[in-house]
Amino acid sequence: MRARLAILVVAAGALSIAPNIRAHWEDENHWPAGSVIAMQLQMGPSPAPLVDGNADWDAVTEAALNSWNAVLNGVAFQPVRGPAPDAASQDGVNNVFWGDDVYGEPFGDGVLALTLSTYTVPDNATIESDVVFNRALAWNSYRGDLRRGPDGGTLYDMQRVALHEFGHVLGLDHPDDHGQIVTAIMNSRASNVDALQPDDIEGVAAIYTALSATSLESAPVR
Amino acid sequence: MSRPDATRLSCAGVVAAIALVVTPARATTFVALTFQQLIAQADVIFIGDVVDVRPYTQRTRTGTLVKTRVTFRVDDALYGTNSLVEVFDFLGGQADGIGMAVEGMPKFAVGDRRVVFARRRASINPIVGFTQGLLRVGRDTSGVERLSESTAITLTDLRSRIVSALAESGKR
Repeated sequence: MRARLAILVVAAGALSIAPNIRAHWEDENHWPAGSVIAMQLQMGPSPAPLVDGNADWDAVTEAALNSWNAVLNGVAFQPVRGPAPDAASQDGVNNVFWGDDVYGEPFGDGVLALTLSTYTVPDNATIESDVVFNRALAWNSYRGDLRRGPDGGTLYDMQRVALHEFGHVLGLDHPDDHGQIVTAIMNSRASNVDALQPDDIEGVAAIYTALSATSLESAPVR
Repeated sequence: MSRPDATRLSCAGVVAAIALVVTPARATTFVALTFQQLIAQADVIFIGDVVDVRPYTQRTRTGTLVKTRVTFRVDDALYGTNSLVEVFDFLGGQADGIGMAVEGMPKFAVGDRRVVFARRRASINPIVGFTQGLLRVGRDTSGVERLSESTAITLTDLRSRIVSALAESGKR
């Protein structure tokens, strides 16, 4: 029975492959070309040493930002550390922080982290993106396959989830939410993929290379 | 499992296909749910049509949020509701010249027909499993209603499976 079920799943999966050759998927809102996106890191120290040797959570999220910076062209992240006022929606700061909720709104079941982007209408220019990590879950930072936490559930890897959320900050959506079967950090579910994949990189290139008429040097920090 | 193999295979096929429709789950990184978990976690399950989509702003202690209130006309109440309409609020939308986007949040338009698995408890998104508990329904050229993401499944098949799963779970 198990074998038959597996075959059905594979067959149905093959049937569901969309003919669309584009893999990555873009959101409607993007940062203006040339933006330097200052991300205010407010995750702080970890209660125990992290598996990958990072000193604190901000070092993990900064590493994720730097991974994106290595492949970005046309916009760039600027990690910012240090004290900051309490995060607020539409405060002009791109906050990266732990939350028990999302500005007073409960996460809902099963949400590990969330990116909330504010943009102008009708030009869809992003003006702020906040990333909130669900404090209620078990977190660490490690590479490789997903691991089990002390309670038997998944021990979530901050770095791969941060890579995913920062992809949302840049304007990438979930390819698997749009019928695409592709290896990507931007797929909607946390998986054994722990680094940016070609599809992720092609996605941001498609968004920003076309918009990069403005030089980074002359762009404002947002 | 005490049912004959043919029945089991048929059920497995429906469940596997539904799983393919619903597992691309959540701005978001979220945990994938099985069909049984969708059933177990839902406070309300219905088939309905979107009749109103209304964004609005809400001031909070930590800034201003944009939300969208979506009203469904309940066509077939399967669990947890006897109402003619169900109303849910979602974080994100466009109001007063500002847009707020939560990546992966479901989007709605008047006229959408959906199978909805939802929670009553307030959250950024009442749909079970973020987008997993929201299945789009379309009509084929013969007029048969099918799941848009997996046209092999008719709405009638899915409804039967939901009713069976509700019975098996003791919810109905």
